[in-house]
Amino acid sequence: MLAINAPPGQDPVRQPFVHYRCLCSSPGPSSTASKPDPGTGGDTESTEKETELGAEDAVMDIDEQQKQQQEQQSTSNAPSTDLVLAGAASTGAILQHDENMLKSKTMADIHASGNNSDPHGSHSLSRLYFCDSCDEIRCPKCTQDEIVCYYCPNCLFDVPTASVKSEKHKCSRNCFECPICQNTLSVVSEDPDAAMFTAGTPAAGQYHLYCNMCQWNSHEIGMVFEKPTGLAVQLQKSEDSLPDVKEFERLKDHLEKYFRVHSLKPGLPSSLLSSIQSGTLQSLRYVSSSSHKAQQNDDIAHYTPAVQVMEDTENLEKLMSVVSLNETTTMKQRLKQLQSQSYSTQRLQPQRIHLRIKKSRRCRSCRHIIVKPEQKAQATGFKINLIALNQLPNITIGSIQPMIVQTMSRVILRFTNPRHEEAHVSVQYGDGAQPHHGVVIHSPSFSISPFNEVWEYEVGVIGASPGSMQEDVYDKTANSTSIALDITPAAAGEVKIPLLVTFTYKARKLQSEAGSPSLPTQLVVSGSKDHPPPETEFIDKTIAFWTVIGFGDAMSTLAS
Amino acid sequence: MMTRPKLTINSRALVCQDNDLRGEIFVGTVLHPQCKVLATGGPIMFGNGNIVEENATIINRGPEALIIGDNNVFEVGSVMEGIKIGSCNTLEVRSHVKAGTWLGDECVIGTVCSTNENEILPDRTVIYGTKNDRRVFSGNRSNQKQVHTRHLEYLMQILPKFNHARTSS
Repeated sequence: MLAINAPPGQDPVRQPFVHYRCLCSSPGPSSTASKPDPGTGGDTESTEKETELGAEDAVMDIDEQQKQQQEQQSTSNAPSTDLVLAGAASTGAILQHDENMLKSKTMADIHASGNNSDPHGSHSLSRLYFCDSCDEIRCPKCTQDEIVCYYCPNCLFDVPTASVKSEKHKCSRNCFECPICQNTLSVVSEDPDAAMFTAGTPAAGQYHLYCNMCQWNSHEIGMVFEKPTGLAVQLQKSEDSLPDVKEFERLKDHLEKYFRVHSLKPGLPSSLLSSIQSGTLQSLRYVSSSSHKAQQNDDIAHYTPAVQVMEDTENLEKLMSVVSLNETTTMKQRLKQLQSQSYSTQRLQPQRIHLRIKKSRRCRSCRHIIVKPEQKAQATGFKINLIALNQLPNITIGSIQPMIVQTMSRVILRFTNPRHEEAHVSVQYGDGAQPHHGVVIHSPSFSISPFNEVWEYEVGVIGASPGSMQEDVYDKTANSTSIALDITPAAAGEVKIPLLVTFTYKARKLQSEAGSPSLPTQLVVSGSKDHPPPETEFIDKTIAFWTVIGFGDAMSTLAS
Repeated sequence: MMTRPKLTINSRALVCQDNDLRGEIFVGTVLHPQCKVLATGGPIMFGNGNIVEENATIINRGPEALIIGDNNVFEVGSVMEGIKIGSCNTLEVRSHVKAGTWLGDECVIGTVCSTNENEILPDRTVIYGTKNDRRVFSGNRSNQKQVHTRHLEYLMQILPKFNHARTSS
């Protein structure tokens, strides 16, 4: 197994890692049902119901419900825990026929969903999101991208979406990249004084483009400008006059006529990225291929090219006589200039800089936005930023001993709380791992102090806040708690263990959640009974998730 | 044990005090504070209008004199170990001209780029990029020359205000 996994020529030594599992790629209860698991009582029932429903997103929503149900179950072990099903609001449509299903889902389902040591479908925490209306980890696969805006990375000008296509996704102002080294070019005047003060009286051909990196100069290809502004338009003209570009335009016109006749969309939809992700493009393609295939062959008029691109015999001779590779263009340079792709560096033209996009991310199951950047190109912040790193305890490996088969080695896991509320964490070893390593968790349930900005500036170790209960943990500092694990690897190879982490914290109850009548399943268990009235604003929220933690390769004996 | 450097400073030169000079050096140039000019072997002879910036190092280990042309710029953190350097060259930030290299005129050694050992670079060679790509550029650099003259004027004005200057020894 070790030899198969290791790519050829690469060191097979595996680094330790901590990965969090997103439920969207878990094998699900149906595949694990065959496994001898003591807790899969409700499994068969639930899988039947899922197949009845059929629709994929419905199943996803069930998973959500299932998870919340599990949370509820798991917290029943912990005394007096309140729980709210916050994600229920978003899944209103599915709620009605799901209520009975909710009951059939047991903790065992979610327990089974990630109870293996296969790191497939798990990611490091930094790559994950946390949807706060579903209360679930979301990975890049179960979120979808949407384009927020287009902008030029050089001049940071926001390009309106309407004009992006006509400008060929390139900056239409004064931003160019070097044809030689792809660095940003600057517009330089022959006379340094003129550029500063007397821009009104330019001499002919006074300005040129200059690359600070490779000293490329647009004089080399005889390119000079009279004005320092609007260079893109001037360049565009020369680019449009190329025979290949002309030919492409003509071909496009020819085909667009045909597309319009058949009332098909002539261009690609502007939200191409989102349609690829949501799968609408596939359906579109399906429709077009099935209904128009027959006509396509018949109706299309024969196209005769207007421009004959010459066989370049001259080029061939030149290339035959090349001695040094520096005289020809590189692959990269040629691919940057798809229209001409010339072999001679003399014919390379500066290119307008490609636009970049800002993307927002949306949860696929509840459609809420998870990440949304500021609309403006200059602003680097985020309006909404629900990344997992800010919301889930960050697990790091504090210290590690080399893994030796059948020998106990101690590992310190450190849990850091990013929230401003105190958190209670319980950790459980998943027994579905193959091979089954011996794992002893020394303090499986502990609390972590809240995050406080002040601690970031403190030097040294801060003990637990006074008055808090002394817990039997390995170490407790500012907003992190370390626990010790004793691991006895069962076999050689990489040691990976699944850990089920249950994380409870006090969350401020949202006004909309509290007052909304559309939440039939919202559970606020004995809020007024256990807490004094001012604290009813806070409710305990519990999140459970699977992690896969790798500790590197286990050696077979001490000697090796 | 450091011996006092034997300095010959031109009237149009400016040598700041806070630098590391060893051996026999003829200066017609601006030496920033904190630069190192180590003539451990033969002497180092600067032409006119050179600029040696902070933390730049120029070493001559060989027995023969290292002759540096005119109007060269040794930018911050660059290392020059070559045996000959022409005029109007630029050694950009943290560039490295290795031992035995012979630089022509108007060469540019890009940021963090280096030459090979015992190499002769023709005039107007540019070394750039992460892979030390090379090309020979054309086009006039009159612009560059003007910028350089201004740079020199500015330094001659500003540096003495904040640094003590050395005199010939």
